[in-house]
Amino acid sequence: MTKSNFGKYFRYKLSKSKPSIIFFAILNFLSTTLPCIFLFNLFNYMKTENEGSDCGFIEYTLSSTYSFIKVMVIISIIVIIVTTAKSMKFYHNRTAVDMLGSLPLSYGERFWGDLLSGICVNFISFIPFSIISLIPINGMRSLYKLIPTSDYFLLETIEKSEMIFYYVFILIFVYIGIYAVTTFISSCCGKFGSSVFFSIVAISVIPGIYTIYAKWFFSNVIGADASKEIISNIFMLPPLGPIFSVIMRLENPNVLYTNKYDLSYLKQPICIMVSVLIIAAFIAVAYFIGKKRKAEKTGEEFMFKTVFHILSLTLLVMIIGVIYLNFFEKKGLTGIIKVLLISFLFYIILELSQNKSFKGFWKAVIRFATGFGACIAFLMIVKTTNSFNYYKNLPGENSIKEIRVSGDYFYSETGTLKKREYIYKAKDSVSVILSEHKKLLMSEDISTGNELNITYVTKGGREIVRGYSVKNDGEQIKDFSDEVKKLKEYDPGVIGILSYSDFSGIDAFFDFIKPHNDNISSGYIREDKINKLVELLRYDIENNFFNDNETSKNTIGFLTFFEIRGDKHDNLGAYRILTTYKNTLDFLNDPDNYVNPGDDNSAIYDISYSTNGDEGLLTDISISISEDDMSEYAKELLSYIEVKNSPDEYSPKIWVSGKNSSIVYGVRLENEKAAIKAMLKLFREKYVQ
Amino acid sequence: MIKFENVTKKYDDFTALENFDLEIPTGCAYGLLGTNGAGKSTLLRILSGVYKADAGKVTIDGENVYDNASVKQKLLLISDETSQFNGMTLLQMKKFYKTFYTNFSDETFERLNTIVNLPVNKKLGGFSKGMKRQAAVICGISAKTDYLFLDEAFDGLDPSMRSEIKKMIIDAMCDNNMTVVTSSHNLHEIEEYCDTVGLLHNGKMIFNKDLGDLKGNIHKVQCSFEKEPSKEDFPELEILLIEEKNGLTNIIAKGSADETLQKIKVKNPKFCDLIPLSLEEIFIYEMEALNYDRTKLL
Repeated sequence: MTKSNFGKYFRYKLSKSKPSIIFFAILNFLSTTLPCIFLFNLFNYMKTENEGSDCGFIEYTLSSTYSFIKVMVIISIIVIIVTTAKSMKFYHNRTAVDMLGSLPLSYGERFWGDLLSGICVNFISFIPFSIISLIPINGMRSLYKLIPTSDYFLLETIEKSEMIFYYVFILIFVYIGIYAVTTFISSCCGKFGSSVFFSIVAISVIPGIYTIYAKWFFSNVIGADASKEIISNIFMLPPLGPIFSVIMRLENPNVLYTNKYDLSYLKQPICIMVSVLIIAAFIAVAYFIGKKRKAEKTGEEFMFKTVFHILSLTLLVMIIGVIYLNFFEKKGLTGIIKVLLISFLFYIILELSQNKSFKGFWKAVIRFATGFGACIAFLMIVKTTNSFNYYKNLPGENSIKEIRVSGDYFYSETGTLKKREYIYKAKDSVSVILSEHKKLLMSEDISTGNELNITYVTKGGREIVRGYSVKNDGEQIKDFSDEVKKLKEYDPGVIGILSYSDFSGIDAFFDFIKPHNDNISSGYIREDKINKLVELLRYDIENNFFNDNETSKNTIGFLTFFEIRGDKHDNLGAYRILTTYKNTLDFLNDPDNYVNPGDDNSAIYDISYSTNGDEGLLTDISISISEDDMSEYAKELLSYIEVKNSPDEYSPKIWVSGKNSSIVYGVRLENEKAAIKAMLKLFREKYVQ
Repeated sequence: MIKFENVTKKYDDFTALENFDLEIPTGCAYGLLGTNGAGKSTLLRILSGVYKADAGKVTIDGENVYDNASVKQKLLLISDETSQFNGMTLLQMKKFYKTFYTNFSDETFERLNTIVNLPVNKKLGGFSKGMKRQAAVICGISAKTDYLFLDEAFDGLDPSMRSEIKKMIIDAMCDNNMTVVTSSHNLHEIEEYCDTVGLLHNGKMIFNKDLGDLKGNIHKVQCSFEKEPSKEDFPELEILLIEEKNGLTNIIAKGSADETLQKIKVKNPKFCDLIPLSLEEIFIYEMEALNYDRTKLL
């Protein structure tokens, strides 16, 4: 028995791939290490500058980094597909068939030699670069622990670094998955072009179909948030799903306001196992198909027509979904006919590209009619049955790890106005909530909304999120909330500023959003009165939250607590002041409790600063100044104010309104940092000291 | 020993080989003849383990060839197409073969390259067709395999180089007892060194004979008679052709030279002479005897 030639073939393939190894090393550096270095530099910048750092620069750097990551991932995916297909010369080149087919190599030796050398060429440089990438990320995480901060962007950067960490980690699975799919498709194709095209189809069609149809499906499920459902589940669709999931999370603006990146789902070993199993399945199928394939068929477009029909039909399903749901959904029968014509044209072109003739054309028409009919029927049934009444489908009691409940009938947390989530883990709590949820679903008045949010976290790490609104004054939601509040695990507690006992250095600003008091529209609370205010607020909240529904209808205004240390600013939270908070309202209606109540008639500019860049609701500091203000800081602040020409060049955090409401003022991005510092100092000088 | 047993190979609706049987003994130089599309390349590829037979059995030294690395170690195929080596230099090509063929001889390679004098560091893409073929042949011979399969090996070679290559192959056969199977649609190319020839037609071997026997067993006699003879006048001869031209009668008949001459002389010709036959002529007459249209065979 002769010695295996696998090692020789493997080394031969590697020696032929030196330029590819160098190319991939550059790509891997750009897609993993460089983004991490960007983030680390940004973090260092923010760490030293902290509050008031140039947010325009930060936003630009963050969004550029994520865009860069996206571009690099796309380039890497295409390069992997092209180089993999190219390295499978044996499948596409008749002369290579003679050369390699007659060599003293068994099929297995050649297949594994091709596969493993390709993996090495593609990923040999990935390992060192991914390890290098982790150094700045871990550096950031360690440094972060040393400097507690409330800086919004700093928090975002550090928290997203965890996402980047995960991105680097799963990238290897994504790339190997794409490599496996390309190997599989190449083993079915006889031409390089077909291999590349159908590999791209194969890796994108499943997440593509899922995204399009699941979005449609969940948009018809009462209470479901389609985008959240998609982000959670798309991870389970390798090879592209995991990277879609991470990038969608990196870019999802909702997470910016929650400061929370729930990675628990992504960290589930089951997800990695699914990826590994799917990759293994593709490789196994590629191996057996390659073994069955006839060498003489090399040069033909697709030698396993069944695989072609599956791919072309799934592509058709995706195209129908894209066209119909984006352009013709609301156009009835005319829309369907237009989709029919466009998709038919597309499908026939695809068929002709393979067959090069109209022989067996009728079979293609039958395949098209079946695919088209199935798609349209599915869409119609989903629409008419509210996605098969999926909204009634709740997870089984035994599969639930915890339930998170929040909503208008639940006391809200401070700071970002996020609804406070109450977490229930006890079995009896889970049972009661499930039962109450089912009762709620019996109501015909419920619709998708945000008045009540229930999140089920399963033991497998999956999150099922439902959000409801109810007609008729929300009686059903109130009933649900009342039952849930009776549970032992329900603990309204005291949080945020309400738990403080020492209020030295803490300032408060109240802003009436509804006409309530002729004398006061907004103002800073006297420092010596803040203790009393918090006491009244605590009393009102504790005595009213069982009854109160926090909505804009019954919100009188917002009370914001903050702390200024030198030129740094911490937002300690914002509270809705409701019509039922009688004691607090009495306090807030008394001008004596304010440093400078009412409008300053001499003021020509009202300047507000909000860390979230969200005008109105979450104003942290608001100042009125006039042009004859002699304060050094006022003069400095005035020097930064100018008429806005182009919105992009001005700070989104600083809002300036002048006497003449038709003129829009602003502070240029490059002056933002200095303006915030001057504003904080002026605030201390004018209102607090 | 190469053995095809009841081998069938189809390309969709086209049958390239059908119930094909063939035996090629070790050390034989076998010439495989046939028109384009006769099935020569298919046969060589099946023999090299590149293609898998749809039915039947192909063995070399008793072992199946397809997907059998140990058998493939004994054989080397030089394809009619050499573009796969375009990106390599001759040295890289040598390295490629040396990687996989354990008996590869650097010494033989150097010796053969001294004869053909090919540039070793120039990419084969820049070689002429003939130079590429020389490169492939010297690498193939240097691999020192037991079996060498050459598909249209002499295409594109000038006469002197064709002769050199043939000499190299003959030397290799003598040195290593190598079995060589050469496909060609040109009889002259293989006449000089093949000892057995086979003719493939429409996927079937219609002719398979030892060249020595073939040449010794068919003769052309030029003679002149008073009266133009017919085939029936020589019932004791196995006449393949008899024709009259300018008063001369040409008789092509099977059998030994002496026997044939003797049987003709019995009929008292004015004169009678044995004329040497080229392999091509022998082939043509054999085929005509089998009722094949010779113009469609070669």
